[in-house]
Amino acid sequence: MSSYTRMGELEIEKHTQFIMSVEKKKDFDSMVMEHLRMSGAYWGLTTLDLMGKLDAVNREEVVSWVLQCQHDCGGFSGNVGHDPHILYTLSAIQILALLDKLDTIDADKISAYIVGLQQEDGSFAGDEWGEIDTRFSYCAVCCLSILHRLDKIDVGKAISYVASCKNFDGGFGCTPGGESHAGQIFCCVSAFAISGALTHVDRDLLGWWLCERQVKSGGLNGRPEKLADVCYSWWVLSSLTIIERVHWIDKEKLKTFILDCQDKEHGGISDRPDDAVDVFHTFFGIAGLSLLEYPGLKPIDPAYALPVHVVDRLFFGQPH
Amino acid sequence: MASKDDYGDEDGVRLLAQLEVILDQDPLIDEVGFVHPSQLASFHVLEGQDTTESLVEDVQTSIAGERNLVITSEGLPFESVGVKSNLLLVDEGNTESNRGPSYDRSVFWCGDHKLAICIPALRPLFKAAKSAYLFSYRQYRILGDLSQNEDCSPYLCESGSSSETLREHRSKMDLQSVEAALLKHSKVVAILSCDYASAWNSRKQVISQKTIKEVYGAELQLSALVLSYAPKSEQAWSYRRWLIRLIINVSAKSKEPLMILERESDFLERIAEKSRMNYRAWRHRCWLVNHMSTRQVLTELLRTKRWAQLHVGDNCCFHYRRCLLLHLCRSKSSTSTENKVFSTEDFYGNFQNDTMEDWDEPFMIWKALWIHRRFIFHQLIQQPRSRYSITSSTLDSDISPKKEAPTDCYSYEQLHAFLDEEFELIDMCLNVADTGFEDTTQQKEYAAMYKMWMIMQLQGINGSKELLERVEKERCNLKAMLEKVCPQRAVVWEGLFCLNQCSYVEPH
Repeated sequence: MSSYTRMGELEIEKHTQFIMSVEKKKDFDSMVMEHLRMSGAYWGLTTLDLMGKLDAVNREEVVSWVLQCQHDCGGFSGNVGHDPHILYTLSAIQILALLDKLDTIDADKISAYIVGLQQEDGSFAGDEWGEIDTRFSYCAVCCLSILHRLDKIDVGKAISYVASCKNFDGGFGCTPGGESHAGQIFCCVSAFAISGALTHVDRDLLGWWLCERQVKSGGLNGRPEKLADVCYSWWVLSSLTIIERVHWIDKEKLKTFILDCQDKEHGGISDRPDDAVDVFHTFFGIAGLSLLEYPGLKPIDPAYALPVHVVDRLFFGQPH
Repeated sequence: MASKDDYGDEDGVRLLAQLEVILDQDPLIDEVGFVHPSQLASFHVLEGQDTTESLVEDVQTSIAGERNLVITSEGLPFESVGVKSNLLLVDEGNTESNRGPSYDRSVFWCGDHKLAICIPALRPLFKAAKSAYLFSYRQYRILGDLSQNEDCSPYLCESGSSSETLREHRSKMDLQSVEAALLKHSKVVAILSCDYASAWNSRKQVISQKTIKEVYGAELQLSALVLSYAPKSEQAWSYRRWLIRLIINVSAKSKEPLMILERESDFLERIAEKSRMNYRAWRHRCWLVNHMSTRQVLTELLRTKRWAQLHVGDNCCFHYRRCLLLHLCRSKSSTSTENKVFSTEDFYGNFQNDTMEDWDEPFMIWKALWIHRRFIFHQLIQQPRSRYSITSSTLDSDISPKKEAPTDCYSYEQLHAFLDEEFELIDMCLNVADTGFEDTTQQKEYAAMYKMWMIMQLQGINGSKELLERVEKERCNLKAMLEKVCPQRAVVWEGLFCLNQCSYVEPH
């Protein structure tokens, strides 16, 4: 009997059905998520592609809706009728890259929007209201890289700002001096990776901090003294992959933890075993399993958080 | 009044109007919760005239039973106990006048500045609020564009003067009423859907045109209201920072910013109690440090020292203290006159306070404390020109920093003495008797990792031959310790320290 037919099997069909059903929910809890639908769509669609199920989706409908979310300034909002933000601009570009529809947008216009968000010190605001966060630095770098326009921003300053957010423990926070957090670390390390600036990372020190995230259950937490959560399976794992220290955690135990977080009856993955499922954790669970080379899943790029075949197509496929 | 599970769109419009009146009539509402209909009914029962002892007990029991049904994004109970006591206060007073405006009692309960909304009504309420908000925002945009195209003559007074045309005056009145509608509706949207960024952004557009202090206070109040049920709401925290930046810009020379910071500190401490290790809350608190005076930083250090002792597992609090200490380091090297008030001893005294001389053995099981120790170690050995003498006295409860003769050198005798103390502490933790509980295993692991940390840090500094030899000796002894304490992490330690290569040979 193969190891996949034991309790830990990945329920690809169920998860596919779950993702397709999220779209149709009209209850209050779904309504108060509508402002981030662009990110939700990115999580759902990428998960489907990793499982080889993207054909279940009407691509034209998706693209048409994504384009409706673009504003005159070039940025994208989380949904129609909402304000633009760099987070949703990245999600929109990731969706279009996934669906191979980047030719539907004006890359220069989007670049101009992002360039306009860069500050004097190299940091990025999320939108016109000025909140600064290294997550937005990642959004800027990742988005522009996909659009082949990374040279439009001051990359040196962007990188030096991110580097200034390094803490004594080797980790990174949201702003200089901010507490090290696995999600922020993913953003900073990926930004370095995409810009070819990984020398700013102390791989041993950071690798140590990251491998200390693994708790007894095999799951990963995001900071010391916190509970394990499936989403950190992505953020910690992808960071470890980029700095080549994945072997510092127990991969088998992590795999088991993620599989235990599935709702095997209704589909979907939750933050920890037996909790309520959602698209967010479903994506990060599947993405984590992909990084762990779970059979049946397409490989995912740890920095761009897109399937490897999509990234290959962007950089080695068609001419730009 | 029977509770419904099914509300239509007309209900939503009606309920929205009621909710907006409630919010308008009690601007001091500081807590909101979304509750199960039976719990809402209980609140009303308690508030009613008929409150015999047994009835109160029954309701208390039912509240206790229903407590699991209160849904907040944080999973915190909607202050059920607090509500009960507040209700009793209301009952003791004049309940009629305390009831305020009339509203659908199967949907809302409001008392003593707390507001409860029943869960089945949320969806129609939100639909109506969103619709009203979008309409008023469109009107605001239209009027805003119109007024930009108007002749730009200044208004002399509100009721119109000879320099103000009727059209301009009418346009201004329209703008005021549209603004009021926009603020009213966006408030409900922000309360029901706390991360609906556009609603908060609309408020920024309106508020940024205002300069009255009361307006800012009311906006901080709204943010606090949302955070009462959604302490992780990114938009609520971000709005708070936007407001504080605005207040600081507008009233830079007054005492306002200092008062704001003090109130924020109180507010954040309450949040920290309710919402454990809330990243966004503590991030906000660290952000405030940038705006603090040195005196405020020292006050915060004192304040959080006590708090940290009561919440030893809270890594966020320790991180905040690290922010405060680092801020002192940076301001030490600046030349502002304020900083000269504090002597070198005071400054390094704060590091002393954080080397845990007051912490007893039981605290050694807390990872957060060990991490903090790593930071202190890292900082202290980075200070080659310190005038601070680190001796065993720092680890006693009775601190008295030795005042060394002013010297720019951080002597190696001092460093070795410090290392002796630290290694002694580690050995004590490693040799603690096994109780069979997980605590002792963890304590040994934490101590072992701290030793790893020390070796790693020491390898990075420019040391004497003697120091390097000592470090190398300790490094070679690591393997035996680690195999005993945490063999499962072997691949990590081998990666970090190349433990299979040992140049040090124990002399016979």
